[in-house]
Amino acid sequence: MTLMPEDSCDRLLDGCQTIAAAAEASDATMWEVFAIQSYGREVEIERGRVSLAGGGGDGGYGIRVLNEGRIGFAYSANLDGAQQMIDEALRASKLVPAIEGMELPEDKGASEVAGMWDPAVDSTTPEELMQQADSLLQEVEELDSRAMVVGGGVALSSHAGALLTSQGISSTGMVSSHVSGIQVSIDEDDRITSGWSSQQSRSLLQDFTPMCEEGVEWAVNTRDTIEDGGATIEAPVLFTHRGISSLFSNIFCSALRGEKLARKESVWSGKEGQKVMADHLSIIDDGTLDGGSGSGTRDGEGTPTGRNTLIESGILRTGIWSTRDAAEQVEKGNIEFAESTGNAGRGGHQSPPGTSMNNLLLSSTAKQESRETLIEEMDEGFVVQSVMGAHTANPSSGDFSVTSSSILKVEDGCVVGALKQAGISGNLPSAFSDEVSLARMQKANAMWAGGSIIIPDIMLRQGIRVNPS
Amino acid sequence: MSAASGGRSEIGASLDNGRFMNQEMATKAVEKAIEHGASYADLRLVSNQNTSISMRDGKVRNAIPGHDIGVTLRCLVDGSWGVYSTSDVSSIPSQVESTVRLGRQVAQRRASDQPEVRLAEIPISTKDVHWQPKEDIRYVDIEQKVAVLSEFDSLIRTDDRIISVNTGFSDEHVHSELVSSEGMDRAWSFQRTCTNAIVTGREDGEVASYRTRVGGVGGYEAIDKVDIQEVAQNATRSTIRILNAERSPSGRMSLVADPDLTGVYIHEALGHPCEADLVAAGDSCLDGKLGEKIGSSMVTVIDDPTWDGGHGSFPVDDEGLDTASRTLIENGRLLTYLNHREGAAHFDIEVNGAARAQDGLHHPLVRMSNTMIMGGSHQDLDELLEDVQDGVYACGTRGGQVDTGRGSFQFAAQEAWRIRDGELAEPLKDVSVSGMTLSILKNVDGLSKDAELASPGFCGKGQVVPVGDGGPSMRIKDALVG
Repeated sequence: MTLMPEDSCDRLLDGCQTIAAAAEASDATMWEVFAIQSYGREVEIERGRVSLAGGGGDGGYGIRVLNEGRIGFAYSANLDGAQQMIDEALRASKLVPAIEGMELPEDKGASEVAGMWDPAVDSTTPEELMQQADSLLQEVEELDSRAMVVGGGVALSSHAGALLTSQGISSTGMVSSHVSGIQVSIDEDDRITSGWSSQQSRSLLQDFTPMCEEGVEWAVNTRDTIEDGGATIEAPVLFTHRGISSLFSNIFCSALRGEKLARKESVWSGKEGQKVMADHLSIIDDGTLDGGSGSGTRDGEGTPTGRNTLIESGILRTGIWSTRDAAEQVEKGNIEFAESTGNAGRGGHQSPPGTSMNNLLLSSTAKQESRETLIEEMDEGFVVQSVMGAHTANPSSGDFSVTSSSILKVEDGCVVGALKQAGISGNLPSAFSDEVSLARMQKANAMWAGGSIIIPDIMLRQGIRVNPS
Repeated sequence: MSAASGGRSEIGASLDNGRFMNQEMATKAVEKAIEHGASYADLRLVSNQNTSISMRDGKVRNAIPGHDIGVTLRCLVDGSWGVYSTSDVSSIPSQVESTVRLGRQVAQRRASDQPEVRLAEIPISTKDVHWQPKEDIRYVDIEQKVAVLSEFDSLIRTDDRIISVNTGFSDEHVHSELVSSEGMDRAWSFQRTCTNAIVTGREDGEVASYRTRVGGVGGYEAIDKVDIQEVAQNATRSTIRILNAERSPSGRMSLVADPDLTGVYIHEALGHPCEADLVAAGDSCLDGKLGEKIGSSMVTVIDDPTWDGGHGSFPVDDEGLDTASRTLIENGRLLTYLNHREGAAHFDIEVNGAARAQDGLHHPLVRMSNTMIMGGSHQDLDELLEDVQDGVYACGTRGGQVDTGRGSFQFAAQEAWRIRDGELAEPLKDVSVSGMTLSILKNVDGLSKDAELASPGFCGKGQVVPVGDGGPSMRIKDALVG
């Protein structure tokens, strides 16, 4: 039995039309009705066994009205509340100052993005999902008999969505998602070491082996701890893609929001057209990436998504925008011209669209080596697989101070052992402006860290301080 | 009725006799689960009526009234859980059989040496509990809520170096209902009201931000009783001070934490490893340490869901148990784990009502409420500082994180000062502290007398729930500061 009923999109669009008819009869000058329905299945793992299986669904409608430049929003789980929803949105709009020039997006047409829906995900049965959990439990045990999956699981979901606006946009679509994550621990000699890994896809995951190997690898290779002097040193640090993802997301995704740049709240405010990173680095936001976790034909307010170069050869080109942020910052005079870059994201039907990344890709024109080669070239330094406290980084300055218990020490180009714990601090934008090398991109480099980011392992040679515990 | 389905709700669509769920239908659903082979089943509904207002630089960006309903069916079958969660309340009767089947499929995978899920016994109650607010947020005009936010904003923007002020107001009326196969049939409700601000300052190319949040469980009075002017002035002063602060030193040194940071420390370093579900999963450094001395004798820690006005307070836990304060550590000795019925049965300890779910769409986990270190013997902060030759005094929190299995943690302060020769010296910024739970609990060497609940917070563990934490000012020797 499939998760999503075949006619879900039609039903959602019908519901949108019911609300739209009421909106059309109201004082709203423009309106936008959004609907979503999600169904999912999950299997949780605890202490080496399947501990729980679940399923469920959620959905509802959201309406954004524009009343003489004033924006109002309200939502409801069902159509019974349609008129009340519109009344509430209009009432809320009276509390919000008008934004001169604010209009909802016109229909510009949009191209389909491939790889967003896999019927195989939608038709996976609970038993098949549990078999997937069984197989990864078995695989971890086979990799190392001491290793146990203490937490994690496998989940899949199907989402149907519809958007109908007064500006002629009528759009529906379905996306699927299949995710898995495991925390592998080895509890031996009165000491626990852990490794974490995950993978995700819009289509059915076929191979859990790389995830299991990564989890076991870090539970194993952090067991052989070495004593370190304890003094803080500045040294090259190779962050694995998993190790850097949360810091990268917390600091750079915030810094690249157009509104933050215009309001001088970004570490890169006033630096448009200037060098902000090493000149071999580029950052692209791509909402059209086939099967991307953050991809879509249109963004959350109907603007076609695109592929936007934000940093090109180290030079800051632009930030990301939604329609509202662009109109607001132009009206305030913080920027001469801005328009939507197709980056209006939605967290669900309960909130209006905000500005968010689609799929953020970091690339380099310099030669990209394997992780092993970068370690050899590092000579003396550290390899970091995960950090704690990335969310406490200061996105306004780029300063961070985090802790890692998955950190290896490198001497003479070889890993010599793990540190039990170390503090890691620095300024991420500065470190990325200096000597930085990227490893080759791997398939598993697509991650979700507060958004979809696709980055390889990164070696930062300057500006990172490490304080072994 | 869900967005993509037709038909009207059968179990519940509106508040009827104080309930959203049709009790007869709910009872039939859990009875049906038993008929199909479940040993226990419960159906929990949560209705959340809320308002969310955000303002930037004195202008409203969003003012959103909302009402969410979710319901979760749990079936314990042959010692394993099957769960179904939905906002489509009417779908529950049709999902009972398949949810029982899920539990059975999980049970079939359990090896003979793996324990069945058992539930500790609790009193079966049909008593409703409604914490009455003094000023019900459902009847306070949204315009009044906007007005308090406007005042808050204008009180903060009193310095040219403040370039941005984002303020927020949130309130919620949380109404829960639980019907179980054991005869539990009760409803409970309470309200929670908060306001917050993120202040950004800029000077000479330096950018700094400061966050503040006030409020807790209660109606509009939770905000009305707060001295907004003082909170605003502190936020402005702190932002400017951070702009001109020096970078944090790095290394091992004495740390004195204010009540806010002490609270985050005890939440991250001890509270999470103390959660019975993590201990049972083999993911806690406190596994096997019940009854052992794990910290300094001066450390006593409580978790109290009944704390008046606490952000993490609630009258009944999500398995239907009346809440009460519990002591986790007494004079350095670990007395119990925070637990739910499953955790209490697993460890054969008294159940203490820590089952909490984010909302009606999630199943309950073991969660903290308001977690505090109790006061010590030092008179005040000055007395704690006077013995410190070189260290850091850190205040407020930008969040924290813990690896419960390894027992390592990290948390970050909002602002800090260097301590030199027992006196506060230059301001510092971006100070973080990390360590290992079991070693640092033994390194607490001073606590001031007065413990207080600090700023409201939120805790993520797959699900996000509001929490409170706090304590006295606390001194830790040999902390890793970064």
